[in-house]
Amino acid sequence: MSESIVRQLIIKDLRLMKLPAIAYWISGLVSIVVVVVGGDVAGMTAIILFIAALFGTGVHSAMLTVTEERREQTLPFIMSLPITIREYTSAKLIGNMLLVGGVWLTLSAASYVVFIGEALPLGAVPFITIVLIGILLAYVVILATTLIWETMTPTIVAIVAANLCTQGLLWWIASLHGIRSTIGGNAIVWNTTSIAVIALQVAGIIALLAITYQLQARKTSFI
Amino acid sequence: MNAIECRGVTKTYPHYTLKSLDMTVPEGTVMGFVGPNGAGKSTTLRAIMGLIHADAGEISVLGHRMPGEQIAAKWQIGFASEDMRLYPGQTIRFHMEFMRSIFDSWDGEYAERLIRRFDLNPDQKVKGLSHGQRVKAALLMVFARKPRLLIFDEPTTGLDPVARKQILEEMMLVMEDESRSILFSSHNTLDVEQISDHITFIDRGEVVASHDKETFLDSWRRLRLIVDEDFSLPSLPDIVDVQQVGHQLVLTTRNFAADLEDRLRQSGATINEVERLTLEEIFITSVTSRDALQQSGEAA
Repeated sequence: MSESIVRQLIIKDLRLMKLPAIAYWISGLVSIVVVVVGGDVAGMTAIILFIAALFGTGVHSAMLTVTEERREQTLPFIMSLPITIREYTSAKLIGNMLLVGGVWLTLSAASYVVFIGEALPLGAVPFITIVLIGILLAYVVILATTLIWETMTPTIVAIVAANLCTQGLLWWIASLHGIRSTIGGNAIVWNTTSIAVIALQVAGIIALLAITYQLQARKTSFI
Repeated sequence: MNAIECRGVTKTYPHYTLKSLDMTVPEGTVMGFVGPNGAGKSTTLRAIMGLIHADAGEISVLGHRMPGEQIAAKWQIGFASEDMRLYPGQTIRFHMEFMRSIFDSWDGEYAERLIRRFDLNPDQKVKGLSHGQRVKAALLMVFARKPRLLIFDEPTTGLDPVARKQILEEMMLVMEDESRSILFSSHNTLDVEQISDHITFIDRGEVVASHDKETFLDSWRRLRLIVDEDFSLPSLPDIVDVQQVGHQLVLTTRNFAADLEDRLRQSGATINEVERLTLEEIFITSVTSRDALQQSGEAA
């Protein structure tokens, strides 16, 4: 594998996404501050803004670095470089995960620091973790769809489906006894339910990334 | 050594098949690849680049088997196609830096000379460029890498005459280095005639003819004859087109030989004129005579 070119492709995508990522990151930070200093209504609005910032980073990154590359016909330019579809896929997966993962990780860390003890009880930590990983999982679904199908319609369907399914699943998870019984407490409780859900989410992320890589590697035509 | 060798390359799509294509581009030559829309030019070039995998056949580029060894080959290939675009929101300089970061062979001074020669502003965003400027910017990225093999898919389509001349001149300058080769497809037979050493015609997924340019131009002739009303054309090989209006008969041969005139005179025809054909006329006649042959075959 041409590691140097993969690195250059990643750097190129990070440069393309730099300004939108910074904008989403600042929006996420602002929303965290508003949750703490604002009232109930402002706080609820800010939580929605916070989730939107995380979701938006992922959607924007997948669209700009994958779908737009095909739509704007810059893909032939990239594929004329000394790479195969494996290097291309590696660069897209690593670049996107670095960028979105970076925003996700820093905003998640900030949300723990600020929310816990201020806006939410300690018992909410497992559920918040599930929510945050759920957003990351939704993003990986969108990224996998854009890479495999490369066109706008499946990407839009994936965005809508990932959004709706994430909300539905989180409502369902919140209603599970193992989560519901500890969410309002003053202690962090990692019980079987919360650990199983997180394990499933992480396994889903890893499986989706691996399947995407394998499916891409089997393509015989990619422009 | 051959820069490109294709043997029996086949690619089938639902409504189109590239049929067992054979083609060779010797090193140090320019091959013009000519065909109508949908003939299979882009499919062939993409298979040569390893961008699509052929269903059958073998492709070797600069000694590397494609698509398996495409990374090694693509270090030495510069590719640009008519539908290829640079990032619209970024400047030309962004792309130059990107290419420089990848290719050690990137020649910064040459790139700056091309910027001036092509009248480009390196700090201008691609989305603000005209079509001609976009094409020139894309070709700049290829030329300044100094690859051993350049593959261009319709590089001059949609360009004004001045831009076309600039691009063709640059391609000819590339060929001052005898170890470098060019394969380029085009509708424009004037461009092909101007710079190619070898020419391949392709139509509906099949190679119609492939020779060096001089062979094409020397072997094709149009003969204008005066004939009687009861004149019967003798059976002659390689006659690809016959048109008769009254006493005037025009026939086109793809393999002109001196004895052809003698045989026509012996059969009672008077040869009024023997003309050379332009590459465009050769191409059109190749395709249309093939159509006629197929139709007569189907009718039979």
